[in-house]
Amino acid sequence: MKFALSDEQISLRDAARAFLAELPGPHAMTEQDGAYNADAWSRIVGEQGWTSILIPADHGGWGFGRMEMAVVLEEAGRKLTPSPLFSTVALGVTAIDTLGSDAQKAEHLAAIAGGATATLADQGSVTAQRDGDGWLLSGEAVRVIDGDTAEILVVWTNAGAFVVPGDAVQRARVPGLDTTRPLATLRFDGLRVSDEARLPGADLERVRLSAGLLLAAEQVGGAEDVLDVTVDYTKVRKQFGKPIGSFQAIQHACADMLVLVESARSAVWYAAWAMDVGAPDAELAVRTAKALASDAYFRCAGSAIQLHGGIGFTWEHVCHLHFKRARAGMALLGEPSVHRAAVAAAMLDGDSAWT
Amino acid sequence: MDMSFSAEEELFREEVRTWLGEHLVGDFARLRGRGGLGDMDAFVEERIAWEQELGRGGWTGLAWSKESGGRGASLVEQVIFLEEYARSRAPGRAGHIGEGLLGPTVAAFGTDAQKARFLAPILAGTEIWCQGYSEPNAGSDLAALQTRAVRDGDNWVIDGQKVWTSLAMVSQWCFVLARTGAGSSRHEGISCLLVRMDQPGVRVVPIRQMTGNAEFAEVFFDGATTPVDHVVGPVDGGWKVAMHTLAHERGASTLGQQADFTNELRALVQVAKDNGAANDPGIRDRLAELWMRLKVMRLTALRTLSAHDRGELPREAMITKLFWATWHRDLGELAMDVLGPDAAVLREGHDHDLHRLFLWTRSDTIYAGTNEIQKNLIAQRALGMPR
Repeated sequence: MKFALSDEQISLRDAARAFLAELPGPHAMTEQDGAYNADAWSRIVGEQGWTSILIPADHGGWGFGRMEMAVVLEEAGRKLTPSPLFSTVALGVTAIDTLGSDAQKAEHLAAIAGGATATLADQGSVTAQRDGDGWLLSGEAVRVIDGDTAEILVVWTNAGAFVVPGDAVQRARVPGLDTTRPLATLRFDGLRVSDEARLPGADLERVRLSAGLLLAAEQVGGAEDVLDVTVDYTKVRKQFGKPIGSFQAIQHACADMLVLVESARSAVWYAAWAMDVGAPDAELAVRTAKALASDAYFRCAGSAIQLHGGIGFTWEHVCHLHFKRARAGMALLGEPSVHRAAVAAAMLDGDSAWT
Repeated sequence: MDMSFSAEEELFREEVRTWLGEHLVGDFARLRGRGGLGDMDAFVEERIAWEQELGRGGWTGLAWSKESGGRGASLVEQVIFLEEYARSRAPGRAGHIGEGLLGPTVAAFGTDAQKARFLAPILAGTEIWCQGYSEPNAGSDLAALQTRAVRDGDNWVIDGQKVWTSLAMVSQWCFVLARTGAGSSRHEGISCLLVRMDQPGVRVVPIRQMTGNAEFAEVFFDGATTPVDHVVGPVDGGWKVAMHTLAHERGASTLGQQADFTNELRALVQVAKDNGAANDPGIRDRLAELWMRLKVMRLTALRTLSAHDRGELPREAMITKLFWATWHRDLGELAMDVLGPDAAVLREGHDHDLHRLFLWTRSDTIYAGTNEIQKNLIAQRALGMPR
């Protein structure tokens, strides 16, 4: 029984934290053209190799687990690092690795390990129709994370998933609440793809759970950052002749934030372990992690604005970027209420051993 | 990261489970599910007999060192024992204050003579202890205590009042924090005295709680005496001793609680299924939320244990009390909502348990450090915010 990061995982975390501190922050993206910094991405892929973490060694990756990926994403979440890392690893790699054939994995995972970006389009109304020895894809996919830039798209349809090149599709960014994580609408006007583009796997739910867990890891990092920023500020901001952090009302709000952060972290670590080893309660563990981490991030970000006072309401401060990412992330990959409903069904509707 | 138990630990679990199954029979069988928090005045004599049965089986003093006569069990073994204990619905421990608080304190600070005199009867369940810390004017602010002990020849003579003393009615001994130093104030000049309860200068008055029963008492000391060698730790240096005891209270006693809470949540789920509340989306949402937080309670406790093995006191350890107290109070409130209109009616059986849960849990966020004090501690010690 050891419920703690290993020495290697701690080293990975520390290295990630040091590296991310050198990258441009979220304001750069928000202020400029809303595009990712290409240099930052090439360093993430080239120097850190983070896109290879989840890719099996057979396909040119490191073959590590979700626990290692979670450690890195927690750090990326902390700094709101603008990059296609989340979509590529949590959605792209997971979808191809879970649903793809060996040949598809060999082709696409190797491309991702080499720096290609990828994402999953599973919301909307894309349909696939047989067309001779191929398929015709039609309809619209919505709220696709990084859908306007991803080089590899995995599209979910009535006939399962297809992998298509990003530039084969009409796509447009939609205005998003979270300005550091673009969403796009993809339009398929009878796009013809070969049968080899169809992924044989059908377990979309597993892909979504795995991605939800990784989003939860990122949310824990974000929640912890707003707590840290807030505590630091309350130690230096003086009113009534004292640091506001000496007032109980402020202290208690920060204590509540710490409870949320550490609880969510416990849930995320366990869920990562449970999915990696295939524990029987892995699904419920992931639902717990996503629900608690989403709630924790949103409540912490809201408290951070309140405790900062006026400065927390300004455009230049980091608080609103966290607040917006927290609320947008809550809506992705299952809102907390959706996960609670699934847990309630396991508790109340079946004879399953929910405890 | 490895969340599984070793083969040795699984064997230990089997040993605990088997022993409890074989011994919670006969007269002890009816104690199942009784005597826990909110019910500590139930079957007290029978639970003392059970304590002695545990002692004969070698299950008292699990966490104590072997030199103290204990089992020297690892933290994981302690967790396993507490989980199995709760799973078998074995009764609330009558000896928990001696085992969990006084014993470890005597082991850490006591003289050889004190160890020889006091430890063995705790392990055997033949001497029950109560704790004389809180006073009417010293609750969260323990250093405001006013009980005084004055040296008179070979004895200390004690005058004052303690309050919220559980098991005072049946205890042979009380460990009392009293002012002994001349000019004593706040943390200075306090001593920890071991005082016999069965003497003319000690009067015990039960406190009837809002639950209707009386699990605690006021204890009045009016010229009570104890020999001079019944001071644990240095005379006038008892504050450090008291803090050591409280550290034990907050660490060990919360360890196996999730298993008790799981029993309660399971019972509530059954009520919700039986009365149709399980079809209400709002109730479903809150049951799921409580289940999630209960899981996390266990996980955070396991993180704390793993850090403890590395000799660290991580900040997540400091959220434990606030987390479980708030969780339990939320469970009590949800229990009433599951009952719906029947919340207004007291009946026997499940409903009665739910009302007791609902009322008792108002105390969880008060004793052993109120939620407000816990948040002060988290802010100042875990987050380093200024005092």
